[in-house]
Amino acid sequence: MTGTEPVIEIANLSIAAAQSGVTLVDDVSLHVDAGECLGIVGESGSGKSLTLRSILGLLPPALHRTQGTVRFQGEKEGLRPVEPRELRGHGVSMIFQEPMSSLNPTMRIGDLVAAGPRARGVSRRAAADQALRLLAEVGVPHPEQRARAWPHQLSGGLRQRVMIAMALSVEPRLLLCDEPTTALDTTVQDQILTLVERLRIERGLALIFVSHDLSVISRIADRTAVMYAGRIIEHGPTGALVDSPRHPYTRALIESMPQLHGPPVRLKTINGSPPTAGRLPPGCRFAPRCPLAVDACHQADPPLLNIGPHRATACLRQAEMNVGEPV
Amino acid sequence: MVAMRVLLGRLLQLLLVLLAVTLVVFVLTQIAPGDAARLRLGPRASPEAVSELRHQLGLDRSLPQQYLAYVNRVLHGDFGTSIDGQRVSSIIGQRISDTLWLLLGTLMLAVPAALVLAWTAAWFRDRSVDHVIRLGVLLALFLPAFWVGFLLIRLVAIPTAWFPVADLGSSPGDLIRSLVLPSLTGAIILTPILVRSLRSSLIDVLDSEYIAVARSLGVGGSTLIVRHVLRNALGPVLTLLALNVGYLFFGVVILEATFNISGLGSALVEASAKRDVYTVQGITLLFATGVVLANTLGETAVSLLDPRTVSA
Amino acid sequence: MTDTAKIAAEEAPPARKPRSRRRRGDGKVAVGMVIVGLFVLAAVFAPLITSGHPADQDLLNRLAPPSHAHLLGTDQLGRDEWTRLVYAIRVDLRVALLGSLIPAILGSLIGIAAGLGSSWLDTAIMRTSDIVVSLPLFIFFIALVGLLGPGTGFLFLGPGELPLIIGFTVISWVVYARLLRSEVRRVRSMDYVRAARLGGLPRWRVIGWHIVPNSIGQTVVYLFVDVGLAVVAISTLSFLGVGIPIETPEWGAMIQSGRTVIQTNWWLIAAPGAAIALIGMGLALIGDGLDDRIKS
Repeated sequence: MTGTEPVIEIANLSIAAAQSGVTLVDDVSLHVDAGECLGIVGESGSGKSLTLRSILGLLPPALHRTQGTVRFQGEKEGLRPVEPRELRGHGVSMIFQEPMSSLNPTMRIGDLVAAGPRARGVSRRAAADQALRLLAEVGVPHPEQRARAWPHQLSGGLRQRVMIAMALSVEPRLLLCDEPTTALDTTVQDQILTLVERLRIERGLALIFVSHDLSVISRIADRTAVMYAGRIIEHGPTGALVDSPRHPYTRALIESMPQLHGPPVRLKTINGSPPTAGRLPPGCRFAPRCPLAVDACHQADPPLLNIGPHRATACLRQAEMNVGEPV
Repeated sequence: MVAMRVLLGRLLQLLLVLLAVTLVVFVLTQIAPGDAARLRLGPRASPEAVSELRHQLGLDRSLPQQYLAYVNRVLHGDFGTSIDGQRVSSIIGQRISDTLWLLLGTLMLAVPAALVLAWTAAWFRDRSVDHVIRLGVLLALFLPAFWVGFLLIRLVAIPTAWFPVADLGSSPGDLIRSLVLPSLTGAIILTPILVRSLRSSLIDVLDSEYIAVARSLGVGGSTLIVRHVLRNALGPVLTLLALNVGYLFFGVVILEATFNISGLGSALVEASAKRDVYTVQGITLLFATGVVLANTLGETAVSLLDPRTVSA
Repeated sequence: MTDTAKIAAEEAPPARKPRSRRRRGDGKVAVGMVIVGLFVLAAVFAPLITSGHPADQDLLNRLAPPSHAHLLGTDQLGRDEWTRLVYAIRVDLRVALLGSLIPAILGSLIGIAAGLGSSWLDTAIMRTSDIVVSLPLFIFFIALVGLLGPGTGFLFLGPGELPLIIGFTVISWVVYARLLRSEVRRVRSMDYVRAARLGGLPRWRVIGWHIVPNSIGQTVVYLFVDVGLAVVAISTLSFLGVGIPIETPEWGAMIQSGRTVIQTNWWLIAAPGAAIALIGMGLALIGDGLDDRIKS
């Protein structure tokens, strides 16, 4: 779009439960340019975490990828198809949601941060030195001391910093963030977001940032994709998307977001609950909850269509939304 | 420091439990009918001789006094004498080595087998390999150990004449040859019990987020298995082994009876058939102490292996 | 979404069950039922499918090989092995059933008491069960029953059977107590049970309505496996000479008396052992199949 080649390009990704065959992620395509941050927002169960995990092949054993290709741009060669395994520790790394359970309780902090480079064949000594530098870089005070500590001796915020140091230890070009701030207190949340933003600029990282919280996404993401019931239903530059949503679900998400500025308003909630995978409505997945739904919406699931430069939506009534009448 | 405190706490607990065990064993052997003195001297002995021996054995004193005397004797390493006039401690001394060899042989076959089966089932969870292993392991629980032993004797030992089937050999080569079939039998019985819980402990570790994190960083192969998975599964494995020591001892009793090995188990069975109270008391106490010790050792090892207890 | 398992649970709904397909575990239950059913029928109609009494001796016809008259040959006393094998079902199943049902009932009651009772009662029961689990009870059993001797019969029980049943009760109540206790605790904390209690329903009605139906499935699964394990334990103990006397038609005792002729008359050992394994596996298949059904 901007002329630069994407770092990663995912085409037609679908994920299903192995036993029942129920589709959980349905034909998702996305790309991230170098140095860009793509946000994916959606409720839990929308398939956003699965999409992210499948990039590194970390789906739970009961699930598997049924279709889709991933192409990744290596340091030297251009964009080429890759297997998830090849990306682990080489070009892509991931920050996980829960800092309590994502650090191996039987390893010291220094060894944890050194584990990735050690797996690539870096010497013990070099990996340990690098671990100390990384701990300092992510703002862990007294790195020499902390490197000898066990995970349980650290606070949640510090553990998440260690997690980030681990992710950086393999020098990724693309960093996947799976709700890295959700489990933290608000103030710590802010510190971690600031850290991620800083590292992104300093290291020129591309990011995919997944969250259920649109306010976090609108702060960090250049572009945003909105997922609902396993599909991307709207996509566009974050500012434009928040200012003038072109899908009723996106608009509902925005209206249910607390406003820090401006007069206090009563928050809106969305009626009903998202459909269970495997029991999807025949037409648009959002139609049963949608205030704008017409008969046609219940007939067929609308495809994601371009509606202008860098904008796409999967809504038959998007033209009506342009007027901006209240929902 | 913390490790010291953990150890001291365990030691105190161990002493209390051991005291309780002596009480249980003492009561157990008191329930048995008949008079130990009369049993020893036979039905034709004079009443005077019987009461003389009763006095010598302390049987004319009150039960609490007898118990205290018993604990006192045990503390001094005196387990009394058997009906045949042998010291129980020397019977134990002669017989314990065969029992220990059997325990070792069984564990050396059963633990690796259980690990491999549990790992395979956990790795291929809910696929057909897993279903086959789980069903096989469930059904193997119902193979009577002594029957499996006899089948091995009839189908392997007798036709090939490779494996001696009575008593353990004395030279290292003979010892190993005579241990093969009993240990195999023991493993066939012990492995199924271990696999079930091992599989679920391994699944817990494999499913944990920190394993996903390690894999996301490109950690794989033996480092992932040993340093990340097995290291975290070690605690559950030790706990499981400690929990099954009592069952393992029972298994060894069966193995000794099946393969005609004169270890502690067959000594216990022979003595209890002869109503040899002191020998039964001594061997039972030894087995019970072994179980309690193994449990304490297991628990202590597990807590010392966990960084969360050591550096709280 | 703290870990992958939770993601799976959250994002993967329970599998759709096509109505036409059989439920999981049905095959296992069917095979198990056939095996166990055959054993039970044989036990009930024992006189019809055997000739004579299991204790009948024919000293002129000792250690005979299998023939039309003696399906599994005869033992050292000329007793018909097939007859003894069939009559042994009665002994082994009777003891195994009682030795599993009594601890199941007792353990369930103890577990409910622990779950509903005061915290000190709960602690006392749980500590006791910890001790019971950690002691070498089978060793104690050999010591005690060996010293006591088998005793005489009791009501309809043969010699040695009552001590076995008491021993199994002491050993296996724990599983049921723990199962019921955790079930009671779980159900107790659920909202609808609180609501029912607030609505004035007496405690026992709440238990009857919610706890018992919820936990009976797992208890039955355990029970089937337990009966099978009890058969193995009974035969093992009588093989060791503890419990049921050796002259009784009982599988373990039959193997013990056949061991001296293992080289020539191996079927005297093979047949009773196969019977033990087969009925145990049949019971386990029923239990496992039911377990699959509960879980799917």
